[in-house]
Amino acid sequence: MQTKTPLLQVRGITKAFPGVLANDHVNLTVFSGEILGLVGENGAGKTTLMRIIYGLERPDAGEIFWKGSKVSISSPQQAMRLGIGMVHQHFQLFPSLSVTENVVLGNEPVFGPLFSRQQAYRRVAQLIKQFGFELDPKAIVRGLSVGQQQKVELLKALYRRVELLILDEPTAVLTPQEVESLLKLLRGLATSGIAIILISHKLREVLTVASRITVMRKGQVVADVKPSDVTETKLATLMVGMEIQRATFPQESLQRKRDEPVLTVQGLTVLNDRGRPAVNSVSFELREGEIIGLAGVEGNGQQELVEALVGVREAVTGRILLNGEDITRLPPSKRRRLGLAVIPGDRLKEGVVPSATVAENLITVKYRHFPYNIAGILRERNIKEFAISAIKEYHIVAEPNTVARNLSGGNIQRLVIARELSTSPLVLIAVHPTRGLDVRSTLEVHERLMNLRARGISILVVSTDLDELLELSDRLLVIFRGTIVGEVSPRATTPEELGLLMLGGTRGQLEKKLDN
Amino acid sequence: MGNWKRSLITEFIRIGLLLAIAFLITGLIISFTGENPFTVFKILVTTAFGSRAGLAETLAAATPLIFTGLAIAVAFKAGLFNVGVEGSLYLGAFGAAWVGFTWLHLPGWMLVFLAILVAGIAGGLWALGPGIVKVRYNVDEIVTTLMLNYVAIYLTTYLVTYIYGVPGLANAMSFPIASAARLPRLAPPSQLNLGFVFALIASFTLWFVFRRTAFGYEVRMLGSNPLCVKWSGMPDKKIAVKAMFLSGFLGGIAGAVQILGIHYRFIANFSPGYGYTGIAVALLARNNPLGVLFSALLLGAIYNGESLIELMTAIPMEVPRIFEGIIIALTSAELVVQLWVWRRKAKTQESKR
Amino acid sequence: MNVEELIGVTLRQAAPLMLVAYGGLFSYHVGVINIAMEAEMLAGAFAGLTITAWTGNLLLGLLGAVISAMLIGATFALLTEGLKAHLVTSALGLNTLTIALTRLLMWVVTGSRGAFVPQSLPILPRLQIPIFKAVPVLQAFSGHSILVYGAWLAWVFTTLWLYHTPLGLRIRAVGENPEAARAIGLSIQRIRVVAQLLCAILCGLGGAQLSLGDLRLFTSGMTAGKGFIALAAIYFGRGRPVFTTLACLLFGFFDGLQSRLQLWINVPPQLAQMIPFLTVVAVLVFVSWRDVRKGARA
Repeated sequence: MQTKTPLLQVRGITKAFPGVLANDHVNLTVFSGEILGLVGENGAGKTTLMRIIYGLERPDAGEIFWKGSKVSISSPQQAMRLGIGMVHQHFQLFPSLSVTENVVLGNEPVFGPLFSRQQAYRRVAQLIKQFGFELDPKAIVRGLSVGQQQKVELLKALYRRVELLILDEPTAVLTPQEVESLLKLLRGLATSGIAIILISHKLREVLTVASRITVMRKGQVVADVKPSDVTETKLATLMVGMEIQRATFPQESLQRKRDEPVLTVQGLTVLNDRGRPAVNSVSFELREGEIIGLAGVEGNGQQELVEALVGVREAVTGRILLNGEDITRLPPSKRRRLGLAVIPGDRLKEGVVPSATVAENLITVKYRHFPYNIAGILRERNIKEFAISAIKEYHIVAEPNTVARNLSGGNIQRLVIARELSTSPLVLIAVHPTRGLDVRSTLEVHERLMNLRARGISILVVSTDLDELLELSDRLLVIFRGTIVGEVSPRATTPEELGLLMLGGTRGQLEKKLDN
Repeated sequence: MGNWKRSLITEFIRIGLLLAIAFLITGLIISFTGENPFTVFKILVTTAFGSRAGLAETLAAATPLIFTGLAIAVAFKAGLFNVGVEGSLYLGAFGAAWVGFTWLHLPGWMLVFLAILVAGIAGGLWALGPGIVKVRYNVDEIVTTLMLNYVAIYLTTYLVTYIYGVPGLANAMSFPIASAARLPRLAPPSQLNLGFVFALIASFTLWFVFRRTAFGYEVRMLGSNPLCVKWSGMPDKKIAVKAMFLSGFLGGIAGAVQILGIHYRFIANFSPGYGYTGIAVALLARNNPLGVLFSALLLGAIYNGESLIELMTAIPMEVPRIFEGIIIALTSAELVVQLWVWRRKAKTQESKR
Repeated sequence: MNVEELIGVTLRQAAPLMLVAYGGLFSYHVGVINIAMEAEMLAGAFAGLTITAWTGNLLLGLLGAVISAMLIGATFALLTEGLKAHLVTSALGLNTLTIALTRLLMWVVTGSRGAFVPQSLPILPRLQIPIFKAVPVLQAFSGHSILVYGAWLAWVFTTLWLYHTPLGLRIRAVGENPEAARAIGLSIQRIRVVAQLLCAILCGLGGAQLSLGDLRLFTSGMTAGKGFIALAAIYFGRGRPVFTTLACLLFGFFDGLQSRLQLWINVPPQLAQMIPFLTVVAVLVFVSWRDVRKGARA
């Protein structure tokens, strides 16, 4: 498996961005035919390193050797010419174009000045057959499932005959069955001589498939180990630099004052931007002091459902009741007044106004009320006081005058939480509340959610992180193509069962149902 | 504190650089026509600031620009492009004239107040349509407001040719307004009138609105991140529509003060493009209501010298408009930032060797 | 009401709109809202007429139109790609600048203010199509200047280029997802600039048709918003050439109608002149309303 000369070797790679040293004298080696696992927390520098190798960034210092000779990779084109391909964490596809067009773009077969679609179809179909992908080369990418779209990403690299394939968090959006099938594919590719760098924070998967693992922390390589020598816990410790206590939350059920649901959703149907039903007659109930997790592969209607609950998107049929009151046709402002709060999924786009100050962001839900607003004029002193107390209570590292975009992800999330909780809500909708946060911030958020639950607040957590959902939820709903396909108890289910439901199977169907 | 000062200095450098480049290019174009650019600039400066009469005329020229600049700035702050200020201006001008020649028996101050109110409402309503269809159906407001500009000009010309006009004229104009409605001149024989004071009041009022009121806050947040505003439960659609109305309202008043203060009747096609020049005013001032005073002054000064350039040099009076166009085109170009970036790139190239 | 006359005037009024709109399609698909089309069209109208009058050579005039439009397009690209300027404000600035510059140049070159009506001007050759000429109504399709037919050719050319060449594919890709395009190694800047220049070429030709086609003169600001009307036509079709053509024909029809209305019925000219602009607004609102109905965004 190992040849004398490494396929790729980077030495002393250093890259700094304003305020952060992303890569600090990093050394990395990859041999043909091996799968190298690259692990580390968010911000450890993994993606930056890969972007440098793929030519999307230039290093400030360091050298790259390809097959023993020094190279300077200044563009993705060059990387591809060398034989390096990358499958990004967020797919880089063109939804309105076909599978074939996505794959051959940049290397289009031509007939004179014209683009030869027929030739392209033939070549791509051949490749699809070769790897057993089961894709229609003429299918429009927009209509494909996430797993299928990932195959298109892989095809892009394979079409260009990669020798080194980089995958950045490929399994983050896949169901357990799809993950299994991907790992199998990667093993096959490695056997055929292709080198693979697999970036993932799913340590279990990396341990299964990698032949070597490199650990990065805060821009530096801290370890280079063999999977047989480490355990998941050991890896996690190396990643973080200290012992991590997995917090266990007491699951005592609280004494409920009432049994009526706080939030009722009945037969809700919501259309997406293209007029297709994204949410299909969904119904569920949320009781006092209960956390419901909504699991599902991203893009199955979660976003539209949340938007309909908040009031940012109109539902076509169905009802939403908050404490018995029908809020289906009410605008977001009124829903908030009745006790609804939301932590949006996209912090910077939906959660805050980046160019505004912390104080200005904190009062977006309160600025119409006394004492912050008298006769249309804002009372600065009261607003500042409120900001200071919120900053203290929620440990936000900032001043009231700090511009929001200068805050770290964790602090922005604290800001959003502070704002939402300041209205003393009855129901909180949290959309991937810990995405992109480091381990400590994640723990903090989880703790806070459990505290809210203990105080009787009902929470709907929408997330693609199964671990998070299993940890927090009292009940777990699974959504697939806009319908709730199952309800499970977190303590009674397995990742396999969950994965099956997320892929559209029904509970009880234990035979593997793969659509790829 | 240091940060605050630094950004102010950066702003001045930015504006200074912008103006310098605009003058440079304009000068180049002038020399291209065979005329000496310095002669031209000298004429501009002496006309605008060289005498008391000249200064007064400059302030008079700046008056409508302050209003249109404020109008455009308000829309910009909300994230909207109201290119239709010119149309609002025409509607407002006509509305003011109509009040002026219809209610001849009312006392002067009441006429003026009513005229301005009607003008503002007319201008605001004109901008309301595009605003509503923008928030409801996402209709591009640039095209709609621009189209309505032409409609406004034709509409008012029609009204003044066939219904409210003095018959038999080549360029149609309306009946004259009551003499009580005329805004007093502040520095005869120049055209400077009370409208300038109104403009100052408007500028300070708007500064206060954006700094201290809830509405100003709403507009600022909407312009910065409309998505977050929606999720936070702020009434984004209402805010946008209100901002458009306010924008049109100010545009209408721009027209009103021209009628009440200078022309004393509505004249078809009277505006040389105040609404469009307002774009340059707003951009140069970075949408700051107080900054608008200065940029309006600058552009007013340049336009003041327009006719004299025509008389005293060989070239027609397009110079101010050329200058204006360059300003508008360049304002968002990050000249300062680019220079900085180039300098840093050069430095890193040096260190790499 | 003469049907033939209406058809004829529709085709003639639509032609410059079509040319500009097809140019705009390149910009639209590459993801750049190009409001500078108005300036490019005006530049083309001015240069086309002036150079033709000066040299007596139509081809040179058309070439001049294209080059002047490309100069504006290149400036626009430099501002927005090179200096990262805002798309809308730089375009608005270029529009104002072009209006002023054409007036200045008109005075410098020809000594005229406001309008330039050349004494002798080579006529754009007319094409007579025998098949059409024979049939009564279809007669209206024959006998127009070559640029009118050129507009229809441009339709074919644009469709071919956008949907059947590698460059067209790349243009649409860059417009849809620039990050993904960069990840495959495409040079986003280069593709955008190429698309802008293609747009400018067609806009220049559209402007030339405006001044050289029937009117055979140049007046200050003679494009009168046509660049924006072409933009509206693109929005109407959501970037699809067929519907863009349809919209241009519709707008051309109303434009022609307003001048005929003044002749046939006693409609005050100003009211008639409002019609094309109101039509554009109505069409845009209708299209957007229909789009919203399909989706259900609050």
